[in-house]
Amino acid sequence: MIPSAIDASIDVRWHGRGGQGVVLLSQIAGTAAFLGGRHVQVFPEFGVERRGAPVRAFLRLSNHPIRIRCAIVRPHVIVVLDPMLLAQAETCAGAGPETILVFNSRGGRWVVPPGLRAAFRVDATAIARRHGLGTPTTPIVNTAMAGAFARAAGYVSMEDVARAIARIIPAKPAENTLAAQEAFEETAECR
Amino acid sequence: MPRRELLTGNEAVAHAVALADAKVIGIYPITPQTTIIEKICDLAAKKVFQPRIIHVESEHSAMATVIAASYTGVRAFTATSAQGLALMHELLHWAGGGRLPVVLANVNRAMAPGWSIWTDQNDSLSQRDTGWMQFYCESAQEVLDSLLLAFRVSERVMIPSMVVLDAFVLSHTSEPVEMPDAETVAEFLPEYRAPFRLDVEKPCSFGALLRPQHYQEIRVQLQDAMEAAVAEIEASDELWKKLTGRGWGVVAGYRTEDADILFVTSATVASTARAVADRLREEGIKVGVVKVRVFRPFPFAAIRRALAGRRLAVVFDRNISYGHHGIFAQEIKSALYGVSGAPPLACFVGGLGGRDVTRETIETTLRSALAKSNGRLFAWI
Repeated sequence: MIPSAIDASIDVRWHGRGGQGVVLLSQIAGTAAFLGGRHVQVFPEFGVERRGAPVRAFLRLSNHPIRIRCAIVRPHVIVVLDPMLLAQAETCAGAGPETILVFNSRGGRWVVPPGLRAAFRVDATAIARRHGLGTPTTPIVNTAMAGAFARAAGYVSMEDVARAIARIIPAKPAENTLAAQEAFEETAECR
Repeated sequence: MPRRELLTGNEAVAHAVALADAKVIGIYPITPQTTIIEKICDLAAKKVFQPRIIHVESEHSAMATVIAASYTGVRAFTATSAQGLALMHELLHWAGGGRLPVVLANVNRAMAPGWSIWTDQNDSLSQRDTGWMQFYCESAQEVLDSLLLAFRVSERVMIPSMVVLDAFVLSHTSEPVEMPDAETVAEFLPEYRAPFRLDVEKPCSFGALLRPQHYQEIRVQLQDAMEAAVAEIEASDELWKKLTGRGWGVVAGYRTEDADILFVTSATVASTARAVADRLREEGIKVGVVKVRVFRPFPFAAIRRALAGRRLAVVFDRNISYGHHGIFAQEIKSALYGVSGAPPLACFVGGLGGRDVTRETIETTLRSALAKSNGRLFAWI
């Protein structure tokens, strides 16, 4: 549920590495929410981007025009594209009992910080490889993570994610949409 | 129904320039402006409009290009930031003094050194005395609307305009924007008909030597035109409101009717400040917000109307004039000089070089001003 108060938005923070398409992912999710009738505000980290370095992007979504124009420090949803980033304290900074974590991992061991509302996992890397997105060594997982976000957080529908992908992803639209759809189906809560 | 799109502030600039059908665009990249010219080139490649785009080797040349284009009687546009705007400085005087209705988008970026790509207003405010109008925006919608208004007003008063938006917080932030249709734009912004232009059939000279008995006369004309521009901006804003339902004013008040304390600021900070005002009112503190949208010509009358009779005005500047203090605060003081009921001013400077201005920043500013409302006049936050 998106809260009804004027300045109460749902705040999402996206974490990945330069070159993974984190900023584009925030735009897919923002566009999906916009197409779903929400007011949205999407912005990248205000910095200098470097390939391989940790990169963040942000999304606010609300039922009202968004007046707050500053960084997101207490996110309701944190989405992580690279499981290695989970080991860094900054990735879950500001998380609390209202926060949902959605992360990409093939399984095995992972460390989810305690005290979150919920954590969801999906093997977006395998899904992206399956659909030939990126290269086998550097798969592009952003569209799969858009599907995972839709499933785990529930603020956008899979249909709107597909429409957003069709609108803003220039390459392999069918494969990207399938990746999002499969991630939507495979995303599961960690217990 | 007008269509709505998700646009960054910079994309809103580009779409506005296309809607205005600018004929000549001088381009030179600089972060955080670059995505404006990228989007313009994209729209031109898709034949949304067909400007002559001229790649040049510096911002100085970009401004020279649009000045020359404007002298031939066509609508011209360019965009820049920070050091790029500073490099244009000499030619900004040339456009202002030459009475050319050029429009420039400046994405506010802090001046180096130290090197910064993040927002503050010292770049554009350093161009205060070049004879340009300046509009400060808080949303992508206001950016789009202001660009169209800038072209219209500039061409009516023959003074160039600078439309200013915060680096990243606005330039790279996507939000819903209502796109006016072509008919609405055509009604608001008719084709530019230059009152004078470079024409080989009717030769005349521009920018020629003016002896002491004449130079001041054209400066009097520029000052008169600048003063008259306030009413022109207000009238054009009214027309836009009639056409689209959106008006922005020269000064925009929020919950000011019964306010004891006014938070006076510009650009995106004003947006966040309204949320803070609502919150403080829940505690019984009667706060209102005044956004100063037009900096040149300075809206003296509107400022006096908004501020006179209040208990306290707290001015928040994202800029500084070293050795004085915040630049909007200086102007507001000068507007209030000798006005009966002028409130005491508490002047704050913060958010320089992209330091985030959060709800907490604004709340702290207001609370500390209230705690010493008859105390210090100036403080950093």
